[in-house]
Amino acid sequence: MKSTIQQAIAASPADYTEIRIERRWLTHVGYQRDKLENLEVRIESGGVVRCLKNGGWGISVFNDLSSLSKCIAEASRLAQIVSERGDDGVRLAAVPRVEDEFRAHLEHDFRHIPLQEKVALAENYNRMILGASDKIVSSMVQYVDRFIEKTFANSEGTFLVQELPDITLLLGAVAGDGKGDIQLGSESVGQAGGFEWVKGRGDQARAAADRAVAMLEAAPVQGGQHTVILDPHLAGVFIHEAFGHFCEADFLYKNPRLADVMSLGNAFGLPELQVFDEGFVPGHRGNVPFDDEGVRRTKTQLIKDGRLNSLLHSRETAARMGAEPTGNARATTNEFEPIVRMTNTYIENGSTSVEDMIKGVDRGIYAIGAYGGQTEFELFSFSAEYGYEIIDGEVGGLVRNVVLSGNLFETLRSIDAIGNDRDLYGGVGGCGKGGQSSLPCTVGSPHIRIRNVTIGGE
Amino acid sequence: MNDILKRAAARADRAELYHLQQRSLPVTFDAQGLSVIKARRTEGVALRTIDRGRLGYATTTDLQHPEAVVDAALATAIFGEVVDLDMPAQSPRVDGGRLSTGTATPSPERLIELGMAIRERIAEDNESAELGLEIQSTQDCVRVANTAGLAFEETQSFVEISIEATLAQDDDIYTVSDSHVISDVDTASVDDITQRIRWLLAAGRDVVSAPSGTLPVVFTPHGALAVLLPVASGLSGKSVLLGTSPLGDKLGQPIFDERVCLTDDGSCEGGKRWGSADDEGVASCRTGLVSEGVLSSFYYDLRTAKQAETQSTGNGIKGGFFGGRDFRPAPQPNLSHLILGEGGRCFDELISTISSGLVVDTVMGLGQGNVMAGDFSNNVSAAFLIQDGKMAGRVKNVMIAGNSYQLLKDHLIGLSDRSQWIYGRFRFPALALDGLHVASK
Repeated sequence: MKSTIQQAIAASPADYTEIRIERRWLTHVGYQRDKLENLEVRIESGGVVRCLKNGGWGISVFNDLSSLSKCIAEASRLAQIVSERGDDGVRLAAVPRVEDEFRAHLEHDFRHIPLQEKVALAENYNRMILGASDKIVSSMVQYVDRFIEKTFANSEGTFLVQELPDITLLLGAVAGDGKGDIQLGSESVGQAGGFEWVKGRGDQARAAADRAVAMLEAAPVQGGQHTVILDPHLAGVFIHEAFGHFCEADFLYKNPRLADVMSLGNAFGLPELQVFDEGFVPGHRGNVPFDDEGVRRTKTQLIKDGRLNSLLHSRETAARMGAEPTGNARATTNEFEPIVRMTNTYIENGSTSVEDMIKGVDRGIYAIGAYGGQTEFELFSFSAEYGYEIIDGEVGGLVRNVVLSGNLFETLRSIDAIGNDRDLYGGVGGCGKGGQSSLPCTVGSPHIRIRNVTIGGE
Repeated sequence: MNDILKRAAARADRAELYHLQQRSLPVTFDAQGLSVIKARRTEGVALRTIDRGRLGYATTTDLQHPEAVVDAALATAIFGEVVDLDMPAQSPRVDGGRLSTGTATPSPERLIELGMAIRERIAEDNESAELGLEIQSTQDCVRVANTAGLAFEETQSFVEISIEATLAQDDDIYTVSDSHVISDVDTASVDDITQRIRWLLAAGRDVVSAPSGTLPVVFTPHGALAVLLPVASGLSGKSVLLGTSPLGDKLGQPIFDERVCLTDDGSCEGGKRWGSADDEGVASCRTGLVSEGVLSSFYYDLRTAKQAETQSTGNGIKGGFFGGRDFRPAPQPNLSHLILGEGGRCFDELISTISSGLVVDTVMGLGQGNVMAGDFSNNVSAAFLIQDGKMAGRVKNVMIAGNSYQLLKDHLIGLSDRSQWIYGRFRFPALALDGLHVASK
């Protein structure tokens, strides 16, 4: 295949040409209540050609690998049209030429685990959840393993083959009180690893069920302004969603006003605040040995001592902003072009223990886990999975419907304590941006405490 | 493709093949202008088998090796769920409808021209707005065939337009977005396509402080999604079978104010899921879900219909409430187009009755909160103050919360007399409700 690809590139009329070919294998086992709702296998292959001509991009996506030369001609033709009508010429920052291979090394390679064993594993967790209480009315257990082999080549001579494994497990429980109230509890595991990661998770299955049942008794959270302590998972989602996306340079050059706010050196929080995006942390879902432009991974410090230290770049944004590429150009599949994305993003440990953090709160909310979040520029909105009231420095009763929202910059400035218990979460699913959803990412943080957070509710 | 179905039929009791060929051409503009054109040509199949009563499922894009997908489906069928479903034998009649314009697709140059016109129209009144725009022409060729005899094929072409406009001033960033599905680029009205964006930009220029408390809210058609999304999942036959719908035991009972009518209509022209059949080859139809406030039906695919001892309502859809066609997901009960019946008053009239409240157009975090129970809790991203019966500026940092089931039952003020399409999957009028919890910073 290597010579076919290289010959096709050599014949390209464009100034710059890249080809990415992917093969993907996926197994999905999904239980819902007592039914095996999903049992499916996917076998996919396809590619994408991206051409740059006179500063304009043209792209061609295909399944039929024999059409490579035709697709290069098409992408090149579209690039020509863009260069004639667009008024903003694209340049690419220089990067070293690489020829390399990155092979996955899995302890228990899920590709060799019989389907029967995967089904049995999910069924077992599902049974545990359903049997945990007579208040459990439904369940959701989703096992997904995915193996991607990517081949990347460009007209600068880079040629890479990478293997990227990904395994996730969602353990969800639904409890009902028989009078129409329905509550959820869930736990998840997500790693760039083997089958060993999803075994022995019975405790988490039971924890999900117990929480769903307990939530039936939880009071709705009181809406208003609260001091909030975020657990490492929710804090990780916060730093990824609310802050990390701002550091993606393609977003900033489209939004010049924010580019001012996001000038390097600007102060965002207390001097203890350190935030990283790290392209490779062994076993984690966000790992990108080489990005989808063939750029080697980096560890980028986004916030250093409370001040903005670096942004995340593709080759295009780096050239535009006079920076170095950071290895953050990622595409979810071969149907998409690479855009600037995060990898493993986290707040580094500070010095406060979670106990001291809680002691310092008269009235507040301890918010745990994340069901999801959305941001719109500096506004964010996140649903915690559940929370507890904090009264006079002690953790009190369980509360539900904890949705936090606010302005990113005010919120970062309102962080007044950073914990010393950092944890990383791969979760299930992934990050969405620009129509490319479910990109595996890792988020993490220690506990953090934030003053004056708006919480919706009655 | 018949090759895959034949191979599967030789090895399994029953089989169904879904085959999708997609060609699309998205043309993207960023704030600076035209930025990229992409040609996408993809093809994939999903094979569903039933063997000794057990379900198997596999998908592939590798059509060079048909045996692999048959092997994979049959491997899953060994452990698959025991199911019973009646695959349709009769092919629905293919209508030459509005979106089905055959094989002609607009050229990239034509899409660029339309994009330029849209940008210019918005810039006329909003010089400082930064615009993002994508115009995508799509042609989907869908084939569904099964061993019961169905052989259905339909091709649809349409153009989707997504617009995002941002106004940034001092510390305020205001961003609005809209999308449209149109059948023909040549007859498209740039005024209509840009109408909502221009309205939102004009109404949102001035920021005012927001009230808090329990207040009436007029949801624009777009905003009504925040209230109706939880109901959409509660009306699913699958939620009922799973015991997660609060409506499970309420068939035939009044659940909402009698002015509320909800219909699912796969045969409705103008939507993105328009077609003669659903993704299981069952003829598209209109299903009354809530009629004059009374729960009249849930929506089903083949599998859940059999479990519930009823008929499929033509809602066997691959993919969720949003988005276009995909061959990968297994069919599930999903809405094709959810239609909320109109009321008798115009939008301004609904507002005129309110002395203090909000107009909500766009919320963040759609689907957040305990959707199953009908709870929603959202930060607003485009919302306006109502003062003395008139819109009086944009509000920020406001959260609204409520329970869809309670609001539509006991708190309906009224519905407007004009509907709009939302994401090509929902068609709603404006919806005025009182009793919303509003928290403002």
